[in-house]
Amino acid sequence: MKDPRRFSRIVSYILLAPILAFFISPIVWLFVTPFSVRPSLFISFDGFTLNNFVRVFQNKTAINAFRNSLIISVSVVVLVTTCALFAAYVFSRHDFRGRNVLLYVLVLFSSVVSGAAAMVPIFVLNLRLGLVNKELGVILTLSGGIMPTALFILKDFFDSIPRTYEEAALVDGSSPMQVMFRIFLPLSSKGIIVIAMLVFAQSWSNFLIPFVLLRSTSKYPVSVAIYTFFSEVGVPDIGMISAYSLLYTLPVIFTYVLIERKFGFSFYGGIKG
Amino acid sequence: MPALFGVDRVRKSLMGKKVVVLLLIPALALIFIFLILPGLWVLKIGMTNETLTGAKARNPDFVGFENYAKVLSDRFFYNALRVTLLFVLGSAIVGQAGLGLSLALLTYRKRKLRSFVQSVVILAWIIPEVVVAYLWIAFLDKDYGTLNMLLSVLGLRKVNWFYEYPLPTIITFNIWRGTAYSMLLFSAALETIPPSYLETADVIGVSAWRKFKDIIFPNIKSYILTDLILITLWTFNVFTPYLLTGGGPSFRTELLSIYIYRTAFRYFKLGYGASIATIALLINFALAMFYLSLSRRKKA
Amino acid sequence: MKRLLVLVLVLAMAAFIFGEKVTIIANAIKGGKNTQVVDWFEKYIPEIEKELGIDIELIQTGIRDEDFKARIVLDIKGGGGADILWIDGFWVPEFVEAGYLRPIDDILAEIPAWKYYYDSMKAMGSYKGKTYLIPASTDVRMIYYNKELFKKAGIPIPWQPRSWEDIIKTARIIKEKLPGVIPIQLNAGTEMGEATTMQGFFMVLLGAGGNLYDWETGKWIIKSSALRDTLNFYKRIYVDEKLGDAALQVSAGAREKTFELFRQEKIAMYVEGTWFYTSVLNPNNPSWGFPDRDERIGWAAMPGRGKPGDPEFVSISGGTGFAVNINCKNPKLVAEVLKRLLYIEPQLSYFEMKPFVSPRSDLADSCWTVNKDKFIAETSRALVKYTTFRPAFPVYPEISFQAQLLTERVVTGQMSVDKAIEEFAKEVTRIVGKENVIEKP
Repeated sequence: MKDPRRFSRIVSYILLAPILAFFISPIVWLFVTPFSVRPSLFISFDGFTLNNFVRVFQNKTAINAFRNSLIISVSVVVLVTTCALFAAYVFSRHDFRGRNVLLYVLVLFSSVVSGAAAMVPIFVLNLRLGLVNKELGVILTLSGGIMPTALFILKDFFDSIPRTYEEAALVDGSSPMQVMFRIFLPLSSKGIIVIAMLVFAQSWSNFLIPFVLLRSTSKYPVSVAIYTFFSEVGVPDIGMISAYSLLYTLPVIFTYVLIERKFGFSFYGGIKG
Repeated sequence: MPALFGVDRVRKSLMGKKVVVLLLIPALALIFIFLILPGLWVLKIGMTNETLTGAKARNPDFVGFENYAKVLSDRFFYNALRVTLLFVLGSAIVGQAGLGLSLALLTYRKRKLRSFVQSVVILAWIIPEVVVAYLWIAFLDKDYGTLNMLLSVLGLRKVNWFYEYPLPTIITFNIWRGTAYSMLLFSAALETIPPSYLETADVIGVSAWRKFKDIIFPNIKSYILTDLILITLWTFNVFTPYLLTGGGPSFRTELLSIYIYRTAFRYFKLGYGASIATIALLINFALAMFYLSLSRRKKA
Repeated sequence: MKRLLVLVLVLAMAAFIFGEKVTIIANAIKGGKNTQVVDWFEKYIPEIEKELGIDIELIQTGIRDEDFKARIVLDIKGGGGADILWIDGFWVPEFVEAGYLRPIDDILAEIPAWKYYYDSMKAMGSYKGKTYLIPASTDVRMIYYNKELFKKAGIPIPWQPRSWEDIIKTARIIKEKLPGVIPIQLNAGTEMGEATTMQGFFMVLLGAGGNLYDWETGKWIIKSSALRDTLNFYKRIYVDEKLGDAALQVSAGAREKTFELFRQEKIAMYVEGTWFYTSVLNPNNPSWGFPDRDERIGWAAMPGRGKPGDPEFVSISGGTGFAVNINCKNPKLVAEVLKRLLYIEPQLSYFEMKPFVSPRSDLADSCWTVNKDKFIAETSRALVKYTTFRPAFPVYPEISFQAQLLTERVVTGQMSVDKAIEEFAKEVTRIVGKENVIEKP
């Protein structure tokens, strides 16, 4: 009895080792290079230094980009969270014909009309609205794209909150708005926070939309800034770029770890089968 | 029961149409304007010859299906289509799903191991795409990349990965990038199989392959389908390889998404770019419908 | 009370006047490939600001030329954009057709220096009877070679090939004597964009007596023996004898990579333009400059094919210049700024930082006598008489792309010369229409 299980475990380890090595190798570089005295493209470490980070903070474009990323991400979070919150409340508490179909269609749309296939009409739309090369265009476009998923997840979450408190309050004579704000919101704060964090991570990481819609270096968020650093003219400052990339990545990792620690994995949208 | 019923009526009438609409409008408006509208409008733009420079920037003409006809005889389009199909087949269907399933199987019922493996694999998934692109550019650099340094230590020749094997390289990259999702999905799927099935199989002494074929696979079929739909759609539209190869060398890694980008934003041909994009969207829809019909059939 | 009102009014007026702003955009950034441009602006802008009592802002960018073009196009289309645009001359036709540029005949009336501009230069900036661009500089093209590498390979200097065969022979010597050095860099492929068409494709095609456009009939030439010989020359270099690096042409960032390789003395011969010597190799360029450029780098005229009747030497010229945005709100102010930028003194100063072939006679005379830039003097004297210009039509960029694609397909071995030319002919015919193409013997 023990032998087959041990055997299978050993086999697992043997098969997993190269796979894990495959996954981890490119990532190790990200955590080693920024601290290295003479950073290079391969994983090397010859002395600890924080110099590369200093150079990041001396780079005006880099700092500017951080500010831009923050402005964009926070705006998207606020916009999406409030709108999705209201709409999900309705979807959850107010049944109507075709509700589920509508939701499903919206999520499907957002998966299909994503990425590059949508960028031409998105661009032309922003062009017509005069929003090209403006942060507002990026904010609105990102929000529109993330909204269906946020809606879907929030509605699911709201469904799991018992309605008894709201019903009681309604019977007591509160208005529906009061019910929503005073009773429902506090109950659902956990889900709302998770959505806010997911939306933040998505907007912070997004590259394509600001890449397509923004043209001025001063408006680039970090994602586009990093791309210009390593793809543009001249010899790239590996130390600075790797340090910058690490700083940029940490909030995202942190966000996901937080979500997992406090709320469990179940929000990786779609694991419902 | 009757009390609840009464409350229902009260709830519905109190909430009122006005409030409902008010609460729904912001979200639906945003979705409509920035998601649905572009998705439908692209068809119309594809029927014009609008550009950003030249005379057609000022006065684009309506050209009906002329662009679409052009696309169907466009050598670059077929190249992009071929690259994309190979990319999706290799990195999503075979790669991510296959690897994800394997990882799920290898870590089945080994909680701590699974946690560890998941953390590593998920890291590859959540790190922002720009950073991931740079990591791979560094990793595969033809002179100083970690992989090549390793090869030379082993006495093998350094390989200019992005030049000599462009398509396999980005396929491998994309497998690395997206496996996490499939792995998570399949792990959850495996959890739904009652453990007694497999324990019984172990007692009887069934081989691993039979276990998979007769017990595991039938139970997770619907999950496999869901996974395939989603990762196919995502992979079809992915743009990250642009950051790695720019579509080259010589258009050998030019996915449809990159071809659209080149047409619309390098040559400013918005109309023609839109027609290619519309065709891409239609292919997406077709794929989605295909998978849905498969799942419908299975359920029946 | 009245005094307060007056004060407010005066302040408002002052704000209005002092709030006047003129913006300039150029694809230049400190430390980048056009760093001297920034230096020059930083020197003269404060003076002009003070004199006119306004604010002048230089918008710096350091991106690929194609992306710079996209930036300008989108700015203008969105209703904004800088007032003064320092752009490539051959963008004028398509920009004008799209309604992005303001005709500047009225502004030119205010600029006394305009009368010194050569007629051919004035023509470069005009389209359909109106002027849109003040040429800032033009250039010629030639072969640069590393004298040290040539010495090591035992090739006598100064070097001046007289035919394509001479170039091939020299390249072979380099390949044999200096392994690890790329004998010749002749731009090919779509990655380097217009740099391929100008420094590569045209320089060869013209040498065979060919062209992209037939001025006599007004048609685009889709097939000719000159074209075939051109592609065969490319094939010999990149495919048959491997005297150039094909992989390099199609790799990302190819252009900068070749600059880097030339700086590292890994490329022996490079066909490029004036700008390469005066901007990229300039000792004052931190990225790719040679401190001993004048001694180490030599230049030779690009010879023709070598058959009877072929041109002796060839060159093609581009040019950049100042254009005015259609959205510009204060053309009078822009005229004042341009007038001052084009005074002889700032122009001479710019020449000192970043020499160029001069589009105006007063400057040309001053440069050669006052500043005595040997390189410019020699190259201008030698090559201006051979040089020609691109066909300035809105559709040119598309045809240029087809030419780049043509070279790419041949040097990477994707297609045979004949097949590649077939595709080229088909595409160009599709772009301009059957009635606008012609085949030449």
